[in-house]
Amino acid sequence: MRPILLLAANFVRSQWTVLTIMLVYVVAMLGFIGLHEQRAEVLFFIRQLSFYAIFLATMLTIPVIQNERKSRRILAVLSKGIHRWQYLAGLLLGALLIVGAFCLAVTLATWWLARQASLPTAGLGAYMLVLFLGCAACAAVSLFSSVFLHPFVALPAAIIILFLPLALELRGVYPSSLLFPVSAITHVASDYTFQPPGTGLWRIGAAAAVQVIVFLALAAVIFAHRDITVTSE
Amino acid sequence: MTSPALEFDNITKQYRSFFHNESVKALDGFSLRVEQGEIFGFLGPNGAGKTTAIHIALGFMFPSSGRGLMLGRPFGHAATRRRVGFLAENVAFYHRPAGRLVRFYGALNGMHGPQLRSCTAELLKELELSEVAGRNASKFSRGMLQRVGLAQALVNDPELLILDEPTSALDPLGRITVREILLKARNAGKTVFLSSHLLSEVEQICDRMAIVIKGRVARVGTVSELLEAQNRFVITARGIDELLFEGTRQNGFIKITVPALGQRQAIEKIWLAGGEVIAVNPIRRTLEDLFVELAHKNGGPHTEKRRQ
Ligand SMILES: Nc1ncnc2c1ncn2[C@@H]1O[C@H](COP(=O)(O)OP(=O)(O)O)[C@@H](O)[C@H]1O
Ligand SMILES: [Mg+2]
Repeated sequence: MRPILLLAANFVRSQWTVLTIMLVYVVAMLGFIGLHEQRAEVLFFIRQLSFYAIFLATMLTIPVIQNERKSRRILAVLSKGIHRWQYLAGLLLGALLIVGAFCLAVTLATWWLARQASLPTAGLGAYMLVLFLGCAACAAVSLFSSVFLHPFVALPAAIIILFLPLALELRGVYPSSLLFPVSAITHVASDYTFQPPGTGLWRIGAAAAVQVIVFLALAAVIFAHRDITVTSE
Repeated sequence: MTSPALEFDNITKQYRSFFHNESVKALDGFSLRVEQGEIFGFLGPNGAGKTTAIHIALGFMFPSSGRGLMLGRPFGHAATRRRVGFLAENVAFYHRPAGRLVRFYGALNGMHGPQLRSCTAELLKELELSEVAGRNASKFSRGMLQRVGLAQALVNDPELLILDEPTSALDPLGRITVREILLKARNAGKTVFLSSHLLSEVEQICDRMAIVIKGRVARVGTVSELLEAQNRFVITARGIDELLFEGTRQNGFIKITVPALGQRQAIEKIWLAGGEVIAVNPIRRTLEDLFVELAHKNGGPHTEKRRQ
């Protein structure tokens, strides 16, 4: 467990600029919307930032392995007595710490705005928790596709795995939200109105958690058999 | 008999390029045994496959065929790497202060607490990094990065130290420091596996060395076994006419090359002519000579590229 924590902390440190920018953005939006305190604007705030959380989780994890290999920083790390799955778990945990901090900031900001606008906040914590699980699924799927694909290909691959139903729905096909929890979460996010959480929401959250475990395991199996060196010249 | 520190058994590594449908055989039937407690020089021209062999030993890559052992365990065994220190060629680090980096890598190897802190401080001092330990390694020169690289390789007091071109960016003083560290490690019973394309670096400290050409071990032996062509000698003399002896004049001395059997005769001839013999030395080939000679024997350019 210790190597995973060390690698996660190291990842967070290497990405602190991204985290800072995102937090500054939350605060700036908060200041802007706080001036109006109207229901529509508070909803716009949380819906928009929900999508940002999903975007952040994906974009943090898609390029990381390729960057580490290209910069050759991965060599010193994997020359130590750690397993490759621990390395992946460290990166995933690091990304989740950043996304978690972002989600927490969004939760606190929304809660404050909702109170100012006298909106109910009962369902907010549950929604944000499920959103966070969805972000975790995004990160795990992105990591999975980037262990064997170049980032340019890994991103579309991850998008297909995560969001295929959004395309199928246009053709009238509705795949199970348990297989595609992140698509389901984006629906919840775009319609979010501070409604109390139903069992449907919890099931989506649980499906996302399962997706995290499954894709981390798949990534670990594939990564264990990959050559990690790239040509330096 | 103790098990070897490193053993490569008939390893072949083929790099395939997805787009160009082309493959490069970086290692081709590569076999080598490095005993425990020796400083082993791993020499070869650029592109010979040294880095590839090292990366396979550390489990960064998998051989296309063949097997190997590191400290008695199959290549890629994670727990065994705790007993190994590695410095990569063109080493790169995270943008963090040098001292923290060394502690980070030590911690990844399971070290912690006061022991980790004191080992780190000691190594930083030995590598003359104490003063810059608090500075961000992203601002370091290549030579300084190589020192940090050595510190992270040594922090767990490894039984086997694998260094890929460790002094390529170091100044002469840095090289001396590294040499001292390596000799100290050997005297403490550790094994050092040192890859280089510079003979000067290897010949002063290595017990044995291997020369790799085009993915194969072309020669293994002690430095003198490999470089001294023991059947020819150079006699340095003075007070004679170089034309009579078919010698060459250098700095006032005459140098005459003779086969081993003609040595006595040549010396007597010099004395008879009233000359003085200053020295008799076996001829040493340079590493460059040896590389060229071995490359010719193995035929063709460095790497084989072929269409599939
Ligand atoms: N990741 C890689 N992909 C394709 N070819 C490679 C890769 N790494 C090394 N090579 C090729 O393999 C050969 C051996 O390289 P290397 O092991 O780095 O040699 P050395 O360390 O002795 O200079 C070279 O021809 C090099 O171009
Ligand atoms: Mg090399």
